[in-house]
Amino acid sequence: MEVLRAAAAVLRKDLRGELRTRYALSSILLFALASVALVSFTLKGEALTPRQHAALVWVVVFFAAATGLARGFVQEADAGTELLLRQAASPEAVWLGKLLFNLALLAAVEAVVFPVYCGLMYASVEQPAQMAAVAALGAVAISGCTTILGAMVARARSRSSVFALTALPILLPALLLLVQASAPAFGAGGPEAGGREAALAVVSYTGILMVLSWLLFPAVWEE
Amino acid sequence: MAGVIAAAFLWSPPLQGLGEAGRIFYFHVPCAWVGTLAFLCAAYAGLKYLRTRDLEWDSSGAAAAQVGFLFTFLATVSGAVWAQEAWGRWWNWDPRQTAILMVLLIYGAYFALRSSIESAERRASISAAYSILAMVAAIFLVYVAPRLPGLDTLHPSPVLPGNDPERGIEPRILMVLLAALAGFTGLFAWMWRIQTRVDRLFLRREQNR
Repeated sequence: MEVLRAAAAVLRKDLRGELRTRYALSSILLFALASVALVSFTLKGEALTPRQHAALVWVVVFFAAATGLARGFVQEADAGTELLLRQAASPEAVWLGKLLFNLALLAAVEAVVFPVYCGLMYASVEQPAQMAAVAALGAVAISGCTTILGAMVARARSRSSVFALTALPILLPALLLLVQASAPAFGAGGPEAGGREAALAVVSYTGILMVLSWLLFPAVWEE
Repeated sequence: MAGVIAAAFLWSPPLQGLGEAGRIFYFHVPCAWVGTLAFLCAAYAGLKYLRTRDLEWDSSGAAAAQVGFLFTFLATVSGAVWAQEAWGRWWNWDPRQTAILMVLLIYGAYFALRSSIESAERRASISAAYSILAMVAAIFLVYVAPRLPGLDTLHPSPVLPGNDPERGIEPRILMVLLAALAGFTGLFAWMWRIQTRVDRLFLRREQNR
């Protein structure tokens, strides 16, 4: 309970900071919209299969996340507030708070990217409810797998490129599965689509990584 | 090792349907095996480091990753050569080819992370944590992803004795393969020890400065 309260405090602090500057949200969102526009411009409305739509939209979300999700920790390192945060809250609470903040950011980005993508690419969503569920699952998976990486690269030089580099292999299994899970919602049919199994696999993979992150985070965070 | 090489070329019968080029099998499979084994060793050393905070475990983990990278690279190249012979293309995004490329990427990310952190203690604890996380991803990519439904692979499913009672596996092939696996594992252990000792010498020199 103590951890949850402290995590909520970290989340509130980050949200307030973000609302003041809107740095992370605007950079991720602009990046995502620019890449959606680029995809749609270069493909010029060609008809794609449901699987191709699913792959493209998740690639856009991944790279948008890779540009901005390290921000939570990097900004603490830049402002020199790491020490204070280390004093004020337990490592688990910091991790959980930052995870929730990243989740909120990603949810906001996805809420814009998915409709814009479908609109620009003329992708018809056959099952909107399923789509929303997979998108929410994806936000949890991406933020759950990468929050600890943000704390790692906050200590490194050339952070953003190292963040993208380290996040790709960790997220790749989840992304492959998310593509498979969201293809049926774009209208991919057939028994081999396997959306449900893929979604369950995302849940288990994310679960393993989140438990590991929870255990490993103190070693990364503390001096 | 010399015996294994001689046996692979001279003693073992050609693999069914693959001809003489199939002999690369005795080097490709052990390299891929050692490539993943090395990452397990790196993650184990990382765990040991987080337990003991002894920097020697950190150099041991880095050494395992360096040697493992070499073997994974060899497995990728020998796999591509074999793919050209057997399937007619160097690279065709077979799920296992994708997986081994991702293992190479994981190694690359591990080295990039290491080289971008200055302080030795921080580098050690962060790369230890990353190696443990990445190990989960590597295991998933190598052992789970190729077996998912809906993905077609040209790689044979694991051939073990008794797995397929009808065709089975020629005992001589199995013997050479097992000998090659043991030989490559031994080679890896030997190279790992040398690399660890080299890294520890560098560590000592830095500490004595």
